[in-house]
Amino acid sequence: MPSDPQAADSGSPAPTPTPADSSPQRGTLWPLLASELSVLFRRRRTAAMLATLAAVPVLIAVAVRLTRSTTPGRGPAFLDRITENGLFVVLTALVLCTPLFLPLTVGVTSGDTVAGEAGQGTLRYLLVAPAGRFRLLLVKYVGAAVFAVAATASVIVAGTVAGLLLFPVGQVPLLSGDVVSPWVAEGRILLVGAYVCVSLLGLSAIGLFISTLTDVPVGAMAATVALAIAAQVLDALPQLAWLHPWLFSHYWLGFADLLRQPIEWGSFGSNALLQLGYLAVFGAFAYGRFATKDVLS
Amino acid sequence: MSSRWLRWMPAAAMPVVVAAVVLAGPLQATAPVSLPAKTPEQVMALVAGSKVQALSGTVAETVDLGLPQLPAMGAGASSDSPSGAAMDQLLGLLTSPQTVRVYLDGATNQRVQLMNTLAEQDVVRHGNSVWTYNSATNTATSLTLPTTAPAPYATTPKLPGYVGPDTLPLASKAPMVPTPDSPVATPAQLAATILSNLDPSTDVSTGPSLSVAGRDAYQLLLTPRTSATLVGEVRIAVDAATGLPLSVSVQAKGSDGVALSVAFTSIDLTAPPASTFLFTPPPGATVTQMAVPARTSPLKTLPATPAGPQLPADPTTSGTGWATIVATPAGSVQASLLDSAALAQLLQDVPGGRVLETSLFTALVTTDGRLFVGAVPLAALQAAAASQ
Repeated sequence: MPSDPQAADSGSPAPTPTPADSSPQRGTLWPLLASELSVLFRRRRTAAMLATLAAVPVLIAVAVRLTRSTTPGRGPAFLDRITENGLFVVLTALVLCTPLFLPLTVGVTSGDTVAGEAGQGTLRYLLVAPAGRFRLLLVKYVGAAVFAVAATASVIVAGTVAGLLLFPVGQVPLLSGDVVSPWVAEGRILLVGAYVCVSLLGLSAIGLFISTLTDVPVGAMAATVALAIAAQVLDALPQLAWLHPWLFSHYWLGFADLLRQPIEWGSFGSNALLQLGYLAVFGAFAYGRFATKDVLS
Repeated sequence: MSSRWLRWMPAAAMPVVVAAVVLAGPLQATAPVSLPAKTPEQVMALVAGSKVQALSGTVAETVDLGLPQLPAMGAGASSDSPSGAAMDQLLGLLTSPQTVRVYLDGATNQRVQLMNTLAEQDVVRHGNSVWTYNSATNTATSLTLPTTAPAPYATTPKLPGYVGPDTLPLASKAPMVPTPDSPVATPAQLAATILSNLDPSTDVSTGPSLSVAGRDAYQLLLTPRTSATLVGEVRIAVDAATGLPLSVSVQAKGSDGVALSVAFTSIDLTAPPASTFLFTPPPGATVTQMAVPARTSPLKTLPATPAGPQLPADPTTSGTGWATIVATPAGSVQASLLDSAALAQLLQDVPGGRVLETSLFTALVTTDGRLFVGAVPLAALQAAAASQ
């Protein structure tokens, strides 16, 4: 078989397609990233997803404000604290969003990255630019990761604002029973936000890989979201305890460790390592697939 | 073609790299530790002479008693009655792994944090005042210990009514009356209890040295001489530098797996900040004042600690050493205690009553409300029940 004509598209014909050898042409990376981000965030779909995420804490806050009766131990964690302290709106919303809504939106965005361009027939034009497939993939992944950060930020900002407007804010009790000032608590909440963002990196990488497999973006999105749900189902089965530490969703709710006194950093580290592993493996898979893919549309 | 394969290289290499990193970790942990040889007696003297007064560390407790694990999902499945809920919590301790952070400073400053998903249970002792706090229910309990209470061994914070596998047989660690939210025991507590109850029925030897929580440790192996017990072997890792027990694991007879393990995963022997032991219930928490139960009065709920220091007069024992069976009189097990939905899944109906059978211990509740508990097979309990 003659050498793959599409390989010439990559613009980096060097035989070692490692990240390092792309650095001399860094100049082309930032414009590409800027255009990717502007396309991503100007999409109505992205705005709708961010608005939906922002609506979750607002709905929680309004519902609790209207009913005013919560029993400790019922409903999602932290729900019963909201009436005493508005900052718990954010935490309740994150408990609700982390298993479902955030993976859903991240799955949609990351599943769309490559498959969306292929489905629209714009992928070949992107590859005509002298950016190279690795760099295009990198930009696509960074775009998905930035969306994950924006999604988490959307929940946190909306939750903080709703909590501040509807409920009193005072000394915030941590899980250990110790009390910290609202500013320290807001710092902890930002740490929790960072944890949640890191948690979504692995799923984004999986979505990117699935996205390179198909030209049908809806398929890639559905597969990514389904994987996120399947991982959590597996995580709930005690018979599969040996598998649990390897599931990318295993540490998702571990952000509560940042709300203890003193902070328990163990789960943050484990989670970051795990997500890094998923990022490395599925990023490499995605590169292998994308760099050898025959782009016909 | 070659460049095409080359582009798949990272995809092929990356799982290998990840696997290598993953495998390298355990290999390092199991690297042999060389320590000057010591006899079992010397290691036990090392434990007895341990002067560790302050530490902060994380303790991992794993259990594999052959009980069905209750699914992690379905938080609404817990029992409604308080005693049923307490029993559910106890069964949670018996069937699922726990992570506990322990802070000690001197004999009377202790803090234990049982870390659950999105929740935490704390027991804080500062001098004679003890607080417990449960973040899931946002409840706090205050308790003042009598000043005459004997000062506990520095590394064995024996809080009143704590729930934990602190003694063997591990049977029936029911929630004692005072503090329903108490966490589990530390390796040091467990080891001290076990070693203080040693008698000639146990063969003591040393095993290969090992590394626990990054510290070199001697290993004590305790093997029951009798064949009547379910306990196969107890292993205690003793810190070579300080004599502090770092891990305790129990194997059931005829099994290679560890049935119960309590081990430090990290430990720091410097004193924790004093603020760790100062607890004020957070605003909004439901605070309950609790009276200290008089030591002489029988506990209201059962089963009681077998061979424990707070043992009420009621239970009787039969058998010796590892094969001891603890029995309580008729009517001592309240029917409400068995209401727990989770417990119902674990109990089996046998001739003469209902039984909780695990790989390490057996508990038999007879139809007339007597309770028999021991680290022995079911047949031994049934024989004891029939003979009384």
